[in-house]
Amino acid sequence: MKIGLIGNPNVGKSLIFHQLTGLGVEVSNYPGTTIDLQCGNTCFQKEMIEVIDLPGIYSLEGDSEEERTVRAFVDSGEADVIVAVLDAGRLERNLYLLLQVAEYRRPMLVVLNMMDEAEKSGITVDIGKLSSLLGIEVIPTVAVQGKNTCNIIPAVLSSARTPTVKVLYDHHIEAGVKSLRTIHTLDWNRAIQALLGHDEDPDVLEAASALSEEIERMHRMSVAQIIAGNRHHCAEHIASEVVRSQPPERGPDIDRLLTTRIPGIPILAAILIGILLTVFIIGSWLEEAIVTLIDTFVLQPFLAAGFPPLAEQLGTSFILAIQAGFGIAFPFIFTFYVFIALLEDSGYLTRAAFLADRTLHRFGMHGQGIIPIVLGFGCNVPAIMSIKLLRTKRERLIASFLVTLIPCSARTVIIAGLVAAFVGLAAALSVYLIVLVIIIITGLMLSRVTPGEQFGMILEMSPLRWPTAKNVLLKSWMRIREFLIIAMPLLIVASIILGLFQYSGLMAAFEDFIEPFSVAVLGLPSYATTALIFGILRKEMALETLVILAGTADLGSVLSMAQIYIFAVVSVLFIPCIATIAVLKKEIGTKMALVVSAYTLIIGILVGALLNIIFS
Amino acid sequence: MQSSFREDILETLYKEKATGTSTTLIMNLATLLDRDVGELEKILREMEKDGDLTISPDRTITLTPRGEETGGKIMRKHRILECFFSEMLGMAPESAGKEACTLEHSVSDEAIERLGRYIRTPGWAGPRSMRRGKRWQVLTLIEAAEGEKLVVSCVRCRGPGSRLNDLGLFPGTTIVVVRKIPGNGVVVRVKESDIALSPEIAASIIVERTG
Repeated sequence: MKIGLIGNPNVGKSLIFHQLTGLGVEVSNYPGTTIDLQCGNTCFQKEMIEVIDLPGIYSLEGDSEEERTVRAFVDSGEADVIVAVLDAGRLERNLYLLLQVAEYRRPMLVVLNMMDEAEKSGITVDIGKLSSLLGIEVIPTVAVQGKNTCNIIPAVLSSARTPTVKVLYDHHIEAGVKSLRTIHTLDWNRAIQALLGHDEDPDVLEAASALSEEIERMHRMSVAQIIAGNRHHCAEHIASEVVRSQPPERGPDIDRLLTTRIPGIPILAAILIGILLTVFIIGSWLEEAIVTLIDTFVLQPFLAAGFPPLAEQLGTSFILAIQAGFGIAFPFIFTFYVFIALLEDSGYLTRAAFLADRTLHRFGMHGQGIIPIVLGFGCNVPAIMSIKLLRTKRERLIASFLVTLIPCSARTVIIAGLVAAFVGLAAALSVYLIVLVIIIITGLMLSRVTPGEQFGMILEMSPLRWPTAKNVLLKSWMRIREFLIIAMPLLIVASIILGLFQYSGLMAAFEDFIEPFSVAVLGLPSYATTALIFGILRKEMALETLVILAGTADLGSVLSMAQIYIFAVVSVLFIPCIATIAVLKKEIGTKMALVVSAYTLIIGILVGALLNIIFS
Repeated sequence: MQSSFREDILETLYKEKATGTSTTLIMNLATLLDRDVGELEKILREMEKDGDLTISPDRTITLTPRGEETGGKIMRKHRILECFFSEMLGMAPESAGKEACTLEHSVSDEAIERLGRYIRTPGWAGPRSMRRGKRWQVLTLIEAAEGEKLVVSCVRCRGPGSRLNDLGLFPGTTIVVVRKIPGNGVVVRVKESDIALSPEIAASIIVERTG
């Protein structure tokens, strides 16, 4: 048996999903899309039940990928029961989606979540009446406290029914549906969908578009607007029958502090900088601990064991890859994810997006773009994964360029460990300045040349709430798992290939080949170039390799200050790490991933060469 | 013609009453309607018999509730037709007024009801001259001030416009401007939830002040 969870964003759907399925969750792509669906299993009375968490949407009929995915899922009849999760405090808006889903005439069940919040804001819902108006069972829950969620599965099994609720449409729409159904034999729902422009059969679409043009002319309103209006009206009617609300007592308006220019913007800056500093401090401390641990207890014993050279090289590469993965994943990315989950669950992230909207406009993006940018400072990989949130291809493209340029925590390690340590703090800050200027120029340029239309931001502000530790950790864990699944195999493969290169002597040949270029253009010794290439694996490995190849940790004694500075700038700018390239490929396609990588490579070498000219 | 003249009388009396004069002298009414006093009085006596108005011994006229209702209805018809002719069909105000004067007597209640709704619904950008009008104050969302309660009258936004439909931001919905940062978009409350909008989206939403 299969059940699908459907609902608006921010209704606690994922939380319910996790409570139903536990931790054994698989993330998979829905066929034909790039949208990730989470699937999990649960057992009830010896029956295996598969639960699928569909992405949060406001409507079944939009053109976004999420909406198309959910529409295809509902239409396919794959799920035996569809469970609609509604926010009790925003019943009317939530009912709109429910009414759309109801038109597919599949067995359904309603979970009315966030009963506690609704109560707090003085809203009571007549459950029995709602159930009878919709013609399906309604289960009130408080998912944050786990209240009543245990009754969902039994109710799915015993009392899922096809809803009886019916939206009254404008008579022109009804007439259009009727004539479509007489020309082509369609069921009612498919006819409505065709009027909205969703159908596969070109004949049906043509007939439908002629009809909808006619309707549009009569109403001076698009068919989508009329239908939306009718549905909202129905939702309003149902809500007015079952919802009783009293004006809640108004507490101090924290929202006012957070969403005005002063002090909203200073607070935003303080929060972001605070997070970056904290992640960096906690991260470097943890990283050192993890790297040392793997070094002493795995790498050293392995090297001491005396395997044949090839096996030793392969083993070392493998261990290095594991070390790279865990050395970055847990200390930096996990810590960062925890903070992001805190911002998300508290509802602050949407406020930050609102404040940042204007600034990001200049770069051809919108408020939501702040999420990948902030994430980028932690690690580019999750940042690129999050560009899905941006609605247009244009925004996604611009964001992926900018994010790959943002100095992630690994690059911060290079800047701190190399420039700050050997050249000085001011020089270290100047590296950031160079990167910032490049990001701004790139953004301004891209916002002009990138094709595609620019749309504004329409974002629901999630209410401010206290995040719970359990949910924050759960969310962070799910994400770090996703990261490890993507990044780990790549790191291992890339590391082994590099190891083989070194073993077979190809690396030495490459060094000989690159030497004239490296010295002439960047003013760097050839081993520094090798170190840069290792940086593709994991950015701060450039630093570690440099130390190994130079044969001393006191780099100041073998390299000039100018060389150190150039090395740091080039390694920060050029080619994103291998894991970033992999997610870029997944999110924006192979071609664009190559373009982004080439762009960073060119920028890196150009800036390095320019600095070399200036310094010498 | 008789009945349309009667309606004109009721309409004029209703307008007079709305502007603050609760009673009108037959003399004054005759000048307003540009009619002979004796002829007018004859008709007024008939109308008194039918219960549309009362005439007191000092020759002042007062509308009965029934007369008031008819008068009000005719005036509303006149306003809507006049608005339609001048604002939407682009006729000169005087000829629009004249046309409205003739049609107001024959147009059905349903047609007027629909025409009124049509005027307020999308596709219609709301001409500038209407902003000065008393009943409808049309402006774009970006011009609205924080805390204002408004009714959406038209969404001109293409592309992401369907998302606005889904969130309930479409003609006829009442919204409240929760937050506004100059030059940086607005947050509006629609159906109990707060929606943040970019300035260019807010500028494409046309709203009416309800107050």
